[in-house]
Parts: sequence; structure tokens; C-alpha cells
Amino acid sequence: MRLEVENLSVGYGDVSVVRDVDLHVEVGEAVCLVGPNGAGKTTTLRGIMGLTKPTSGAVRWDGTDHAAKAAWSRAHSGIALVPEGRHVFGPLTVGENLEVAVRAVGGRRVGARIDSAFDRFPRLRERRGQLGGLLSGGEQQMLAIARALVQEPRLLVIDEMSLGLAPVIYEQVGEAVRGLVSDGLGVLMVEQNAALAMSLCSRGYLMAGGEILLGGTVEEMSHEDAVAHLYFGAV
Amino acid sequence: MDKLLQLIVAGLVTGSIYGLIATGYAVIYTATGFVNFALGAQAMLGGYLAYVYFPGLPQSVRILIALVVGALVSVVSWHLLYKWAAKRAMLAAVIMSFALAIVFEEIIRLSAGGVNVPAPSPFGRTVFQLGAVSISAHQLAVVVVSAVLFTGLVLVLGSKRGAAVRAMFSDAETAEVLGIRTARLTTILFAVSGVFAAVAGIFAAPLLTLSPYMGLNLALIGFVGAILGGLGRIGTAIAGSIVLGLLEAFFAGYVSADFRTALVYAVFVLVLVIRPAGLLGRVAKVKV
Repeated sequence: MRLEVENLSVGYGDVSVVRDVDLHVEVGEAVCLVGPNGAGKTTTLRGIMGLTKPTSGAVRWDGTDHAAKAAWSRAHSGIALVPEGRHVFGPLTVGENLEVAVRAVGGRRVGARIDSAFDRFPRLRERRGQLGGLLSGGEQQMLAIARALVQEPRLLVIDEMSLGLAPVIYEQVGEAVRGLVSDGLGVLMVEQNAALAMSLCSRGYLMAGGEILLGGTVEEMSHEDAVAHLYFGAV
Repeated sequence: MDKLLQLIVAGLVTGSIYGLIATGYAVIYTATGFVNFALGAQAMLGGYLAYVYFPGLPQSVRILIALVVGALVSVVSWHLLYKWAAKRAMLAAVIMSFALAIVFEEIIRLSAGGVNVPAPSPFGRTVFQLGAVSISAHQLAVVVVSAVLFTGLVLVLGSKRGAAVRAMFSDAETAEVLGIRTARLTTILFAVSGVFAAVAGIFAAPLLTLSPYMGLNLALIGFVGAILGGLGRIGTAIAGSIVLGLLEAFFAGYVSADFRTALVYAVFVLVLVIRPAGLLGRVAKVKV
């Protein structure tokens, strides 16, 4: 199984923000999409997830092109999103946040799935009955990840996980992601913090100005001048 | 004391009818941000379907027709008209709903006449005497059926399956990306609002007598009730409507029956000035 994005262009109105993006993610590998603020990473991701209709191109997953389909169809076919800014459902309890995610994709064994999410993030078990909106930022991030995982996806898309997250929690979450990948999950990580993303992923793409500038293994990328230039060069 | 009890009964009855309309406003507003001012006209249409058209059919069938048409009108008008306008400008969609209300009004006026039509209650003329307080079978039916509908809706939304709707209310885009079919849920909520409006019309007609023009008042007063409680939550919109019905009854009974409608709008202005989020409502919390 693989996600294959071909010639994807996404824009708002007549303005195309992202042009001709090509990338792919296999299950069992973690791939990052890095680039500075305003590079078009979030727009690319919105196009992939169907939150903004792509103007052209294909989003193929498991042989089916999802580009023209409604956003909900992706979750039903095994792609789960951890959105930027977490977006947990504030008026729902922790338990309800997870339950609603399982039921949304018609999942069975609701209780067992939630239990295994609690095993992964024991802090959430303690907070089970609390409203999502009242959790701390770190707990909300755990909940957002747990909410995606209870859907038992084959591909996990994570948007800007590091934003506003304490390094300790990031490390904890990163550990969980590594474990999931070795269990056969595909991960596409969109990150502004390239160093952190590349520590978790095996391959990556660099994006700037709405286009993919280069792609390759993390090893190759860390030797590229373009990466260094975009991140540490002219300010 | 007897007068007070009698006024409470009257207030609960009208408040329940306002609440049925207010519920429609609230479910649609929380799901889409849209305010459907055609709900009053839809209530009026429900009244005509139940009492005026199809005189040969049994009453229960006519009521069923009113409910089904109510749901269809809501759903079709959303998918055919409001949805497209709302994508560009919500205000355009809201004004469109006023226009559609006028269209309904004219269609009914042309087909059934502009005069008031008496509507006999489907619950008969029985009046129960509880001490000094008298309550008609119709009044009792209004309060009981409305209470059942309100409770049912609140229970469904509070249930495990209803959590998907609450998730959509809180963050529609995230709900959709999690696999919740928000367009389908929105369609269902529009159907619910249409059925509730039709019930309101069926209940209001025997109390007010039917006329093509009764819709506007129902639409506006239901809206005031929803605003009084807070449009963003279903429970408070219902509570606000019942409070409004009671206020109106007390005002009519103790101050002036002629100015009861004026009171409703005075309340509206006061609420908008003092607490735009509603007396019972909370301003939506901004997530960081």
C-alpha cells in the first residue's frame, strides 16, 4: 500500500498556492515534508486530505484516486490525520473524542481500541471523563494522536506536531511514532522544525515557494546545501 | 394564585411552540452558521397541509403529510438554495430564507385565500379542570408532545451516536476529516428542523387560527426565544423560548394583552444590547 501524490496543484480561487507536487509514502516508512513557514506545506496537506479541493493532480491511495472525493472518504479507507493545533473536540470528553473517531470509520471493538490507546498514553486514561477543551496542550496533542490511532489507519498524517509542544512530550510522542512505523504504519509528517522531523523519518521532501525543491533520504537531505540555506542561511 | 397558574399553563403552551421553531434555528445554526427565517412560513405551510388541503383524508394522514413535506422543504431548500449562497456570503443565504418565506406565503395565499381559516384541534374540544385551572386537551398535547420531542432530541445528541453531531457542532472540518459524513448529518438536522417547524404549525393553528401571514410572527418570535437562551446551544434555545412564552403570558395577564407582541420585541432588543450571547448562553470559547 502506498500514498502517491502526482502533479498536485492546490489553490484558493484563481491563485494556485502549491504547484505540481509529487511525493509518495509507503506503509512502514516515515516521510517528512519540511520547509519554512509559508512554503505551502499545510496547503499541500489540505489538498491531500480533501479539505481544499485540488485544482489538478491525483491523490492515489491503495489504487484509488481520492482527489475529487469528499474529505471523509480518506478516513474510511485508512488515512488518519493529526491536525495542526490538535483540534480536539472541546465539548466532548476524552473518551467521547476517541469513541467518535472509532465510530466515524465504522470501527468495531470500540472499547478494546480505546483501551489500547490508553495503554499507549496512560495520562489519557486518568483524564477519560474530562472535557477535551480542559486538557493541557500536551495532553491534547496525545489525544489528537490517540484519536487518529484508534481508527487503526495504515497511513498517519501528522501536521506540525512540534508547534507549541514541550520537548519532553515531543520525545514521548516521537517514540510512539517510531514504534508504530516499525509495526507497519506509514507516516507522513509535515514539519517546520526540520531537525526534529528528520530525526524521526527515513525520507523527506523539502518544500519552498509552493514547490518541492528536492527529496531523498534523510542522510542525503542533511548534506544538501538547499536545506541548510533555507534554514540557517540568509535571513 | 389561580390566575398565575392559568397564565403559567398558557405561557408553557406558547413557549413550547416557540421552542419548536427555536430548536430548528439552533440545530441549523450550530451545524452550519446559517439562520433559516423560512421556518415560520414552513410552520404555516404545515398548518395548511394538516387542516386545509386534502379535506377528504383522515386527520392522521394529513398530519403525516405535513411532517413529511416539512422535512422535505427544509432539506431541498438547503441543498438547492441556501447551501450555495452560504458558501459565498452567509448573509445572502439568510436574506434568501426571508424571500423563500414570502414565496410560501404567496403560494398559500393564492391557493387557499388570504383570509383566516379556523383550524379545529385534532385533539378535540375536551377541557380538563384541575382545581381552578382549566387546560384543554390541545394545550396538554402541545406541552406533552413538545416535551417528548425536546427530551428526545437532547437525549439523542447526548448519546454515544449523537457524539458525532456534537463533534461536528464543535469543529466541522475536523469531524469531516475524521470520517464523519458532515454533509449527511447536516441534511438530517435540516429534516429535523423542518419536522419541528411543521409540528409548531400544527399546534399553533388551532390557537391562532390559520392565515398565510402567521409564519412571519412565528419565525421572529421563535428567533427571539432562541436568542434569549442562546442560539449556539439547543437546550438553552429551548429554555429561552419557554421563558419568553411565560413572560409574554404574564405580561398579557398582568399588564396589557394588547402590547404582548411589543414586549417580545422589547425583550429582543434588550437581549441584543445587554447579552448578545443569550441569557443562558456562553460565548464560544476560543481554542488556543
